[in-house]
Amino acid sequence: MSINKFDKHIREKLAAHEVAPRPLVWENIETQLASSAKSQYRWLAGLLFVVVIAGATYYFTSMGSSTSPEAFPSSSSSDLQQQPNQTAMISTGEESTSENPQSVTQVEQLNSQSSIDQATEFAIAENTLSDQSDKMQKSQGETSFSAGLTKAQEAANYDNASGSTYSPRAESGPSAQNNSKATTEQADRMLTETDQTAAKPSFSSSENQSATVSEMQNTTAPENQSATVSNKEIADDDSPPLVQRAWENKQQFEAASVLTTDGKMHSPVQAAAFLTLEERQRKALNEFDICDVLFPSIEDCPKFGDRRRRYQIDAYSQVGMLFSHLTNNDLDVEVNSYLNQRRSTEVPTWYVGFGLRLSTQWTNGISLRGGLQVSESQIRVEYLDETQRQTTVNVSIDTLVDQDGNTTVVWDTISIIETGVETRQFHNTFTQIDIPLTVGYTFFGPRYDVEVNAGVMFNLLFQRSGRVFAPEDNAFYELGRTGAARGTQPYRSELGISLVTSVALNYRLSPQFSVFVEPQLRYFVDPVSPSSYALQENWFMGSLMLGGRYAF
Amino acid sequence: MLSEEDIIAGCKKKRAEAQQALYDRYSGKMFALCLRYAKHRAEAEDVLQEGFIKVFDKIKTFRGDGSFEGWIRRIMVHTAIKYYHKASRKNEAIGWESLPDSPMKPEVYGQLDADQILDMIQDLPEGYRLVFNLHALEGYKHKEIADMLEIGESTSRSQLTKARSMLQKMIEKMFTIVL
Repeated sequence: MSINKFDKHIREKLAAHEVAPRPLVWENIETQLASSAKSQYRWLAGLLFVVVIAGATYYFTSMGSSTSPEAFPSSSSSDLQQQPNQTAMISTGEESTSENPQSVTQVEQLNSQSSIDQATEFAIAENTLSDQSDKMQKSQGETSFSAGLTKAQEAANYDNASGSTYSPRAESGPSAQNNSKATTEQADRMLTETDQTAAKPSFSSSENQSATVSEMQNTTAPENQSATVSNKEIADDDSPPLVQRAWENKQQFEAASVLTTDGKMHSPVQAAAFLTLEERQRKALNEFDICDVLFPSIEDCPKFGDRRRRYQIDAYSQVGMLFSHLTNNDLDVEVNSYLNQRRSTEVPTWYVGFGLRLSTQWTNGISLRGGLQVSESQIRVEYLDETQRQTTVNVSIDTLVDQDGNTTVVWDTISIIETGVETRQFHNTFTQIDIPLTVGYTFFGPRYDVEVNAGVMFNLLFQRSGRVFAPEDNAFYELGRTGAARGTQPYRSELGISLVTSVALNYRLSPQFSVFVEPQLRYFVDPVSPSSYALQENWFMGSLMLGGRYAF
Repeated sequence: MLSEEDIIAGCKKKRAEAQQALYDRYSGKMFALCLRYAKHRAEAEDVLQEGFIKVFDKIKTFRGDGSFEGWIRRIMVHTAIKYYHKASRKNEAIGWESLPDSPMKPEVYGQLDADQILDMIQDLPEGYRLVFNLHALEGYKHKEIADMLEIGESTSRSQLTKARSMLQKMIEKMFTIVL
């Protein structure tokens, strides 16, 4: 029996042969299909998460900017808004002082009776004060102030004539009665006179203060929480405007009140009431902080608008390598020869790019970075062209002289055609524009910072030029802007999402300027080839970024 | 009952009923194919499962140029080859001595049924089995088989010859016992 007949017989016997698999196989397939469908949604959910984070960051960032102070860089109305319970204490103290001279005890009594509702009233009072304080800033130099401004002026309470010391703690103590009554008018006067009196208040510990202050500290405050105005510095000609000084005094006063409030003057229940107040106010002011949500374990989450963040602009260039991995797309085994041909002829080479990046960085090290990046990568194609022909033409010219001396010129042309193999080389170039969006964490050093970043890149544009073997006939076809001019598209028109991670070493030249070097890895989530293409091509990039940074 | 076009269209839209109809229609034939390539039934089931997942995943690329069954069959074959590579059994020693050619009478084959042939194919050493399946039953050329299995073309030829000899020997032995 011949080989062909043997094979044919076996083939015929098995042609219609069927064996039923166990039902378990279909159940497994169903499960796998369901999970693959879910994984597609997982990417969508991831993308949605990034968009939401980016949107929330932009929203809260812009909101934080709107509350940034203008008049006083170091202490401002926005700072006042950040300390609602502190301001509430001022209001409480002032109210109790005006109604009853025994303010320390009565503040405690008032607070002991306070409730969340009262705290809310404090918040209202604080907002009023804040608004009025803003007005004060605007009307600096004018002679009239609103009634609420008097409260801020009280914070600037000092006795220029007698040179006595001032303590914010005395605001609610017995001696504060005199201060608050006697000096409010003086403060009004002083504030309206602006530059006429160049008094500069300063603050020191209570150990150096008068007996009155010490007495107050014994009753109400820790030793290091009082503030005083020293006569020595009153006559400083270079002092800032009086309103600003008053504002600074007020800030100091608020700081002292906070410390007193926090576990000193209030019972836990009252403290909780104030916490509730703070939360309420934060919500009311929309000062919801994303850091609290993302990193609840971090106690020092900076708050938007409190100047504990900064912006950075990075300009960088990058060089690196493109890595490409070609595989059979599992569609057809005949593709293997084409796969081998592509693998043997294509060598990914360099990758260069440049970009701009805007970052928001908080003092706890967390940063969000976004920008625009333009890059170009190349794949070198080197192949043996077996169709080369070399033609050599030999021309011989002979001059024949006969016996008579006549000359005859004889031309002879010999063409030699040689076929051979020539190594040919060209480059395929790929240009990309991407939007990087990363979250980072910075380990701060004295001059060096180490940053770890991770995130995604969204491809906006993908252009390619060059030539590629077509699987249909193994001939070269030009790559246009939208892919091969003929045949199946070897590259997608956009590259989708890629994952990036980097570690940067940042060296600060000055508080504003720094330079950094940042190795980066980038992996394209989806193949760069379309799913219908015979081969699947995956890209991976490694690069080194070098750049400069301006922080503000 | 869904037509083949309806099944393809439904599977492209990832409809569960179309996917099940496709599986019901072709799973028997494809499992028989997988059994020929696999070492045992459990391995064949794995190949079948992986192959159908690929079919459902890649069905949007099927343009209808050729036979749909042929397209599924190629995917199954390729999956089986991939499975073979993944299991790293390609270096398994084949070491089968050359068997003398023992011509058999044609009527002997007529008495064999498909299950018996399948059993004998499964008993072949892995390298022989793959080459015999690919060349004798699927029609691939030795160059293609060499690319697929990452072996030399001459190795493919020699393994095919040895596979045939071994099968003939098995058949002969079986009928000797029966007789």
